[in-house]
Parts: sequence; C-alpha cells; structure tokens
Amino acid sequence: MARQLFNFPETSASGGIINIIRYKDSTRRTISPQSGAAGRSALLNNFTFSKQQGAEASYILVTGLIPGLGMDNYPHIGMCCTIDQIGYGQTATDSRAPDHPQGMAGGGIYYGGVNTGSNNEGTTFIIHKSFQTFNLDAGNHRLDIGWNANSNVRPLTYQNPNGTSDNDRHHQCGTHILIYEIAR
Amino acid sequence: MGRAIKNPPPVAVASKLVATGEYIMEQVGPLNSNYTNYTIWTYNYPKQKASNETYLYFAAQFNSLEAYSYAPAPCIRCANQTADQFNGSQYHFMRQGNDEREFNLYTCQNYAHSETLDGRSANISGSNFGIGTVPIIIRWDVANGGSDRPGHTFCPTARATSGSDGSSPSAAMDTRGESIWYGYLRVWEIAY
Repeated sequence: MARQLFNFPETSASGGIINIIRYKDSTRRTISPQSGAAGRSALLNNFTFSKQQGAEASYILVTGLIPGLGMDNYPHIGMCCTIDQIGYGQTATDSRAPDHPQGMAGGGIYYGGVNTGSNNEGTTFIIHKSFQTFNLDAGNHRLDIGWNANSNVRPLTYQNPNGTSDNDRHHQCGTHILIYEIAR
Repeated sequence: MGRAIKNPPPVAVASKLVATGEYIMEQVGPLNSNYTNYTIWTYNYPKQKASNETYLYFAAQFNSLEAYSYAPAPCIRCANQTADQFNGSQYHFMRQGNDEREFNLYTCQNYAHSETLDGRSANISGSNFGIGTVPIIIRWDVANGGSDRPGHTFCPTARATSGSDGSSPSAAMDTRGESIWYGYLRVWEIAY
C-alpha cells in the first residue's frame, strides 16, 4: 500500500497534491480589537478539516485571500496563521508574551490598506503559509488566522464587506482559502 | 473507501506536477542604504527533471517596513534567467507621515522555462535549468542605474530594530507584534 500511496507521476515520490480542501466565508462582520492570544482566531476561527495521511507522508499548504475595509492598526501586530494553535508566539519567555507557545505560526499572512479613518478604503489580506515544519497526523485539525499582539489592536475594521452595510457600490465579498495536502 | 481516497492519482491520469519546494523567508535588513540592485533572498531549488522535461512556476508574498514609493518592485526569477525577469511582481506602499513603521505588501509570481511554453520562447538557457540546483532569487534592479530601496526591513521580526537611514531614523520600531513574520516562497515544478 505504501507504494500506492506515493503513486505520483513518474519517478517523483514527493510533491504530489493529495487533497485540496476549500473554505469560503461571505458573512460580513465587524472585527473587534483584541490583545494577546485572543486575536489569533479573529479572521478565521476553528475551521476543521481532515488530513488524509500521517505527518511523515504529507504536510499542509494554505493559500487564500481575505477582503476587508479599513486598516485600523499597522503594521506590526503579530499576524499569524496556525493549525491546532501551535506556535503563535514570538518567544515563550518574553514578559510581553506570557504563555504563548513559541513557534512557526507567525507570518504567512500579509496585509495592506490605507489608514484614513473612514473605513471606506479596501484592505487586502494575502495568505500563503506552509506547515511543512509542523508534524500533523492524519485526522481532524483546526485552522486559525488572526494576530497575536500585546495591545488591543486589529488589522482591519470589517471583514467581507458588502453593499448593504458598507458603500453600496460593493457586492458581497468573501474570504476564500484553499488547504492543500501535499506529499513530502 | 480509504484506499480509493488515498490512492490518487493513478499514473494514467497523472497531474503535471512533478515536485514542489519551499523556502521560508526571514528578516532581511534593516537596509541602511539604497542599492542599484539587491538580492533579498535566494532559494537553491533542487530541480528534479531535465531542462526539456519540466518548467518552474514560483510565487512569494511578504511584507516589509518602509519603502520609497518610486522604487522598483522586488521580482522573483531564476538567477540565470535571461528574459521575463521583471514580470509578475508588484508592491504597495502604505504610508502615513514619514515613519519607518509604515509597511508594504509585496506579491511576486513568475515562470522560468527553457522550452517554448504557451507560445512564449524560452527565457532561461537549458544549461542552467537541468537536474540539480537552480537558484531562484527575489531581487530588485533599478532600471536607470540609480539606487533605490523598495523596503527597509523585509519580513520584519517582532520588534525589529530601527535602521539608521530611514525617514525617521530615531523612531523605535513598533513593539506590538508577538509573532515572527515569516514569508514563504513556493516553487511548482511542472511537466511540459
């Protein structure tokens, strides 16, 4: 069976795509400022997906886009993208980050917008995060996206804006994310 | 059912994806000078197939602190690429006041191929594109030969130290973040 599990094109036994899981969220919401670990799930909270193969056989790659309005805080508020809430701290010992597990969850999500205070301007979030350094077994896991800061901050004001609550020129926007399971 | 789920794809309907590689980008900078060109990161991708068998598609996204809005965008390409070096990349400069805390959003994508691909002629020599190490770089080049800086500190870690030649050199860096802002460069090696 092992041979068949790695039955990807020709001689390459690595890099094949095993599965792709899709996430879509088109619900407009106001994002509240958060401090500390409470922010780590503010943009995507506990999306459960199933990994088909074990940690030695495959890893996870996450890509996607989040539309927003307003950019309340910038730039450096500890953006993070993590699975099973692993490693979202900068350091486990810094007094400003008590009890935050240190690790690779930081980064992989980047944003830019215009800070006018009007909340009329768009903010773009790009997600491009590999979990090749994580050991994730087969079975269910959770994906969380947000930030981990030591003060009350938020990177945007409204996620998934629409034309009803926001400027009426807009259609309903949606967050789209793909979770790739890739053979090691 | 487990077998059926775990056993895609059979060789007969194989995808064209031969391999994929990644490079984790960590902080570069603060850069205290402008440069005519500057290679921010280099990923020595181990190419699996011969130059006439596969091509590469690569992508990277990242942030930086401070930039000059006129600066050319950092672009992704093979180090030995001879054409299309500056395709597929752009960045946006977020600014309010003159402060190094302002930051920028970059996206880079490009192809390298030594064979004709979708009607486009090769953009890298086959001798630089065979099995083995193929360096992939993210780099800026100022077209008119001047010097410039499209970012001051790329992929800044939390509480990155301030540079000495920014717009606001005496300012302390933002200290709110509590995670390390890694960036990711991904390569897809695809069969012709």
